[in-house]
Amino acid sequence: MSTAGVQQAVDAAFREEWGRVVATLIRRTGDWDLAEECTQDAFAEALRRWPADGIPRRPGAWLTTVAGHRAIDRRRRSARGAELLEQAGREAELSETDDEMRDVFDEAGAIDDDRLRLIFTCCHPALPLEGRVALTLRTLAGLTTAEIARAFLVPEATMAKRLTRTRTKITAARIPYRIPPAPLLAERTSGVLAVLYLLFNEGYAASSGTNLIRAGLCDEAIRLARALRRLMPDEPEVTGVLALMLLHHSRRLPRPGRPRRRYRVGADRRPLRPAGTADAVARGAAQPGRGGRAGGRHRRGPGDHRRAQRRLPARALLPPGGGAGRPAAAARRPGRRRGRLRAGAAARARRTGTPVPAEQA
Amino acid sequence: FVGTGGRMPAEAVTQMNRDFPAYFAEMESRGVRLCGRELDSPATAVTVRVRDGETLVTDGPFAETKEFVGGFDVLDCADLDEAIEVEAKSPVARFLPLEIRPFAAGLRAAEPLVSAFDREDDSAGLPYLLTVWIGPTPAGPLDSPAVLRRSEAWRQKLEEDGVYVLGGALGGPETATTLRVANGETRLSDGPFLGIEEFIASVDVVRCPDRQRAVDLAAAHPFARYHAVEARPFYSAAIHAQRQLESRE
Repeated sequence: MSTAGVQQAVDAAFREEWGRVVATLIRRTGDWDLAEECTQDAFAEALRRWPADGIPRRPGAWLTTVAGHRAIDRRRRSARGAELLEQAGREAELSETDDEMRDVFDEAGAIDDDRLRLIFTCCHPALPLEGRVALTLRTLAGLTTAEIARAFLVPEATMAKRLTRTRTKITAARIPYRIPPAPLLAERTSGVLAVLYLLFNEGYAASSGTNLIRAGLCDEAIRLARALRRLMPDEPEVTGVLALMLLHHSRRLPRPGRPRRRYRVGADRRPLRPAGTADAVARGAAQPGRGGRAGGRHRRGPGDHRRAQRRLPARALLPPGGGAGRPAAAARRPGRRRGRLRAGAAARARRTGTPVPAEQA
Repeated sequence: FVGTGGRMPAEAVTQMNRDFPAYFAEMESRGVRLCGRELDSPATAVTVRVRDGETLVTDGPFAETKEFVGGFDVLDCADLDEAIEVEAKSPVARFLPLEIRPFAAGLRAAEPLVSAFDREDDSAGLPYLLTVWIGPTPAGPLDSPAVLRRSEAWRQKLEEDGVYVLGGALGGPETATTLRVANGETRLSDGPFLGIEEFIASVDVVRCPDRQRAVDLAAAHPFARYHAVEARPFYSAAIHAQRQLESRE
């Protein structure tokens, strides 16, 4: 495989798997810094090994295994001693028994659960809001400290300190690394969505400027919201926020000569927009049960999301798919309720989703 | 920590007092609340510093702020979420902000004194709260192991003398979470409830026969050399009644 091909595969894996691998490592080691370092090592290792060995069938499992081994090595070498060695021994035992298989099992359930754990912990309401946003970007989206600093227009040192403070608070104040239990789940989910929407707003505001990193926050927010939705498919609020993001995102590109003010979504949900944005709009509008009303209101800025959010019953489910707002490689035929969406540009290749009904009964 | 402005509407007080017994019963049976008590007003506090071997005593609290610490409770919880849940249920939460802060290195507590303290049994001496306040530019080493060891030695000695109730070093202000309950909704914010730069670094509860003894103990605290130690008595109904009698005479 060409080095360019490997690089592309690693990039793809990076976007896909970074958050998952970090999340699993945090669960296993309880050490956020260690988790990030080992994940970084694993990705570097991938760049070294994959050209020769080929790209593994399940890159995520491979990366998690390598990162896990790294963590054990580091623990052994560190000064912390007996209890950790013992724990490492247990982990080593586990991982020696057919790593691939175990992580394959995990992949279906536990690893995704790990990502949920990570999102909820990063967005814990006891953490300062800027810390939540920064830590989410760092651990889930894998942005470097420098990139996050640039996105929020602060010096890198400031952002580094912010990240450290947030991580310290999680450990010192004993914020549990878990998916919140049922009584707390609703309010904590709102908290996570607030962070994601804030991210989106930051990117939206910058999308016409030259700060590409900042504008890229929209994509990150949408990606994370999608991931959250895959992990919590029965949570209508998540779908609603994703819908809002997609709707706004679809209008970020100026179209010369075309009035953007109004549009109507017809009774059969056929969007009247030109092809490129049709997908995003159609997807966005297809989500709320009352597609017409929510769609018609979309021309207001993201600031009104709260009002719009309350109106969205979000009865529809979103078909899984690739990047929002980009000219999609396969446009969905309007009016068709079910379908697969193939991912857009190369690096985002993902598993195709199973078709889901666009509206629940 | 319970933050307060000092004055509370009477209905609030009655409501709280009505709800307290059930709350305490539940929390103690769950084993999450160790003890807690209301503090006397800041006017009864005294601030002690030791500089160049000289003990400087100032009447009054360390910080002259509109809001101040009104009381504190010691919790033993599995994680922050449990602490938040316990504090949010407190009858106080509806009216006043509550700050949750972890003990940095565990809690030292001497049992029979702890229950007596909680029961407001002050026959052995009035309990005082000694708080180490640290300013934005610490005059000395914050985490130096030598100073920390000396703090533990200071606590150890007081425990042997039978006057140490409980205490320990606290996590810094960046580990604090402030909680308010409004309209049944729990609102959390990062950081201490006092919006000032100085912060409390440790708490120690000691029993003292009189104010002078409290001052002496504060001066002996290793941190008094670098920072300030505030000594404030806990609220005692008996003493207040006595004061009222005296003021009438």
